[in-house]
Amino acid sequence: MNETTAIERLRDGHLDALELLVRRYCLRGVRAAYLIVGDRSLAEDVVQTKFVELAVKIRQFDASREFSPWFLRSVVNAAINAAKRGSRIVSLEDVQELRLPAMDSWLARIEPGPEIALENKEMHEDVMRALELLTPMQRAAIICRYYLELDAQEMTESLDISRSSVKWRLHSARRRLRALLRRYAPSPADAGSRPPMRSDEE
Amino acid sequence: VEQQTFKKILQMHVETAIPDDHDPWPIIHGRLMPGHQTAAGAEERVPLSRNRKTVKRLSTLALCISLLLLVFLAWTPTGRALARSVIRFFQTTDQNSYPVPAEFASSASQLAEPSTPVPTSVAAIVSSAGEMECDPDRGQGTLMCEIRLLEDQLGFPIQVLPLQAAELVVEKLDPDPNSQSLTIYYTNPYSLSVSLRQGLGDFPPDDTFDRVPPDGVRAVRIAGSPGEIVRGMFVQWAGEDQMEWWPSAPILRLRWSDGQRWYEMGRFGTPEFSPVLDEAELIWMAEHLELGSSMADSSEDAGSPTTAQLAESQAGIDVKIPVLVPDGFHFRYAQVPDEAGRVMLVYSTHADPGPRGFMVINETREGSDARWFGTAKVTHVTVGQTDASYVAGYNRGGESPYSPAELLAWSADGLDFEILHFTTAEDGYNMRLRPEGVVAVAESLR
Repeated sequence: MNETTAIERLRDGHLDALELLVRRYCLRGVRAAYLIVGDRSLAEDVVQTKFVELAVKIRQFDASREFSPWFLRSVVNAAINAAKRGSRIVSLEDVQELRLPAMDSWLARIEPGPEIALENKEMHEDVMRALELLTPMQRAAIICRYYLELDAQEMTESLDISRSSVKWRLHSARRRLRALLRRYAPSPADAGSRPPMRSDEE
Repeated sequence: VEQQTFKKILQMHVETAIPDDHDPWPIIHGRLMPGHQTAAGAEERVPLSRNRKTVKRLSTLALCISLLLLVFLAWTPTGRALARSVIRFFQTTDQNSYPVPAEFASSASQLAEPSTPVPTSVAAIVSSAGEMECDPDRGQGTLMCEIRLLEDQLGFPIQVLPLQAAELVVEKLDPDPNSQSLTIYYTNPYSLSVSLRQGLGDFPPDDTFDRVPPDGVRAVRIAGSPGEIVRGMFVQWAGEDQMEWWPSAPILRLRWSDGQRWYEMGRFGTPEFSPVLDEAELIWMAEHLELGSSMADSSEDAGSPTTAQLAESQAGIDVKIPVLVPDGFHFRYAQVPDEAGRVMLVYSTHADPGPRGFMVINETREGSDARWFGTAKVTHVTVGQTDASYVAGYNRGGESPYSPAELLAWSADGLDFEILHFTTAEDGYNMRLRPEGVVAVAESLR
């Protein structure tokens, strides 16, 4: 059963057709929502609720539209709202607590020993912590771009904001991430050899 | 952090948190099951659980009560009086429009001939930005220095916005000795202006133009403190003799008090950027004010002035520069917001960014977008053979360092162009270019 058939069957009241859509899109949706809300239970609830709503309101779905972007858009927006409702006030002083080892040395070593593995883990944690310090809209922009790998036009549709706003949000989010993770930046000597995290593809 | 590393970290993080074998189907199926047994239609087939039914009934009841309250507040004199008494920080008015006050009407009656654009050459002009020494005797210096001087004058520690969060650059510090308050004006590379005003005690009284209709005010919480937010402003459209409330104006004002000090944040920008820095983000910034004296001096950070040629090479756009600009205006700098494919050529009448401004924007976009103008009255004109939209309006209220006056937008050669011309309230109409003047500037782009 393909996606179009599943939607048609769901419209006809066959609930089993929803299973195909759940199995195809739920994992990606939950993961995207999790990166935005930062809480697994909340992310699961956001996506499950979207599927329940889909079943209830399937007659309102325009079958001529592609399902995947429509569904991810609703998940991203629901996750942003959930993150705004549950947003914690994070002190900017927390930024100082980030551990900031040198990324160059980390990248230079191919087979990390136990110490390097620890550094990797710390950088991983710092990146996720920096992500938490963004506003929900900035975080959503980053997740759409770097996790869901949407282009500017798709992000315009997903976030339901203008193209200029997409660019601005991405720009401000990147800028803030760069500032929070500045000690991981390549040294000036290496700057020309590796692309930093910036405008790129647009 | 490199892009690929960043993507990899995101991937690893979610794959660890939400493993591939995550199977939500039984839960979703369970949530849908109760209604699946009996109903025929999809909506009937998925009834709400008893708890959700109760919640829905309560929500409906709350909605009905809210609607009744709104009707009471909006349409009965007692209700309106009650609503006004609840609004604490903004002063309200029942009028959505009123005649332009005499003092301004008189300036309008002295309508001068529009300024004549004069030839200019910007290509050789370089940035005039330079560091200022901290000179307490002259009351000017670096931003840090000025903040410390003002703290001594005003008698309270000055709070500033978290600059990093919204790429803001301090443009101007404007102390008011009468109200013992300070307004800090910020700007960012997206022609967005933000202001933060603060003072001790109670809010100073609003003048007529700052007042808002009661239904334009909404209560919010700022880190637990009561606050109010307003979208919209009174404007006088060109050719009109009435001030009219413009609810969709690209202006947000947020007022709150922490018990000892009052604050007002304003966000002003071209209509295009209305969605940028929305209410939630404005509130987030309000909740994250920082002490000015501990702030790093970032006044030379984002949006650093550049020459037009440098802007051209940075933006990758064949920048077009006007041969004609309004009389008295000089090229000041070009801004290239990262990634926006946009170059802004900024002109002013003074060496410093003053209350008068003139801006020519070159941008790679996908066709001009008349929606930017919202409910503004658009005049259709032509630039050469190209259709263009012209808007003129006068903002008498708000705290913007600029009063948006005239805007012309059109598309040509795969680029979008905008010309914005700002003047001050004191200038009245005297600095106005009118459509023919702005079109002359537009047609002189080379």
